[in-house]
Amino acid sequence: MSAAEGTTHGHASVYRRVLRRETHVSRSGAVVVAMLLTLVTAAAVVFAAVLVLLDQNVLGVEPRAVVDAAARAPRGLETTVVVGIGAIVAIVGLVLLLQGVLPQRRPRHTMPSRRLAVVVDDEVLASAAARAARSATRLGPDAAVGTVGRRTVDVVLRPAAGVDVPAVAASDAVTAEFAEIDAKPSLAARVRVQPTGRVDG
Amino acid sequence: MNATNRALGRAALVVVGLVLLVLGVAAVLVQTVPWAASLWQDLARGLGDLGADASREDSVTAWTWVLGGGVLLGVLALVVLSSLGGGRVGTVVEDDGSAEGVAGTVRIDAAAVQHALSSAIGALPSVASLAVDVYRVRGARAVRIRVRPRRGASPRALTRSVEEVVTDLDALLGERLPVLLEIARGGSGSGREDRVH
Repeated sequence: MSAAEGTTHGHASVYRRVLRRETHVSRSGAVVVAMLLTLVTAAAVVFAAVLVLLDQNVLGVEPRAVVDAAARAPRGLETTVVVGIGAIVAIVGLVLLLQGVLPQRRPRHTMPSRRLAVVVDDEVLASAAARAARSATRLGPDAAVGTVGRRTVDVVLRPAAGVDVPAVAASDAVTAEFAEIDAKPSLAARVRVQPTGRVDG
Repeated sequence: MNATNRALGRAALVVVGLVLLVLGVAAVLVQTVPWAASLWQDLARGLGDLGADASREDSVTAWTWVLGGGVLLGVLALVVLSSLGGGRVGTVVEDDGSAEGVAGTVRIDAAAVQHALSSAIGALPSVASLAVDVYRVRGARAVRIRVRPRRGASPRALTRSVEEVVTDLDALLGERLPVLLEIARGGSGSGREDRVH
């Protein structure tokens, strides 16, 4: 009966998990790079160990001699080469570390729904905002530009020179649209009319 | 929405990142700062068994440990790599109806749900294109509907229409599957305006 219980109680935990995953960036690219580096290192270590155990060397390089040279550092090593390689390794490590530690959000919002888990790209919200602002005016399709941040939605109206724009009506239309959308995290709407008019053909 | 284990991936990134960072900084310090160099040379005496001066037996023992460590490291990396991706499934519902005492099973393929949803949602005027996939999430089946709307389409109106379609699907399947609706940007046809507002 657990399936029936799941349906009556909705899918809260599945939805929470899905929405968290959909609003954050997957690190799989960085993970693949890190694991390939690890694999190459592991292969080199295994190769070196096998060489020693079989008492062989490759191109006159003997793993035991390499260990001795490293143990004598900094004597007998070229400073610029070591510092250069060390810096590169440290930077790669720092990048991978930050990739793993930083929370990386996607430019997306979620919307509440009684049945679905919904994520919306910010670009879609921006275009809906532009359309809403324009619908309250008599401007052409490219006269309104919307921008959506994490907590704000900005619409810039750029009317042709001499055209009067009902800015309050446009602002109300955007606010009404976003009250209906009810995006999480919530968005505060702002409409500006760009005073420098365009000249349309 | 795939089955990638993100916690494992992030843990692996943190570990590999820290190790590389420490190694790189340590190499620079040993080469340039005298006290770091003397500290390293104290520590490096512990590596004697790996060097050329060690006896054959000590050498073999030490390098066998190194061999084991390398193999272990490689296996761990492969385990993390294999945890990426996957999770897409071909079956939405599988029910043998044993409570009713009738023989046989009912199995609904993902393709059936994909076709049903695609034809119903694709007919909406504000939808430019869409894709439907079925994934395994926490042992249950979940449907992902990725919709690319036309420019300026209202996300709330679109959500409401999809809710209706999914409610119909619930009635059809007799089961309420978890459904993710992803309203994505771009895509073919999305540059065109929705002609009727």
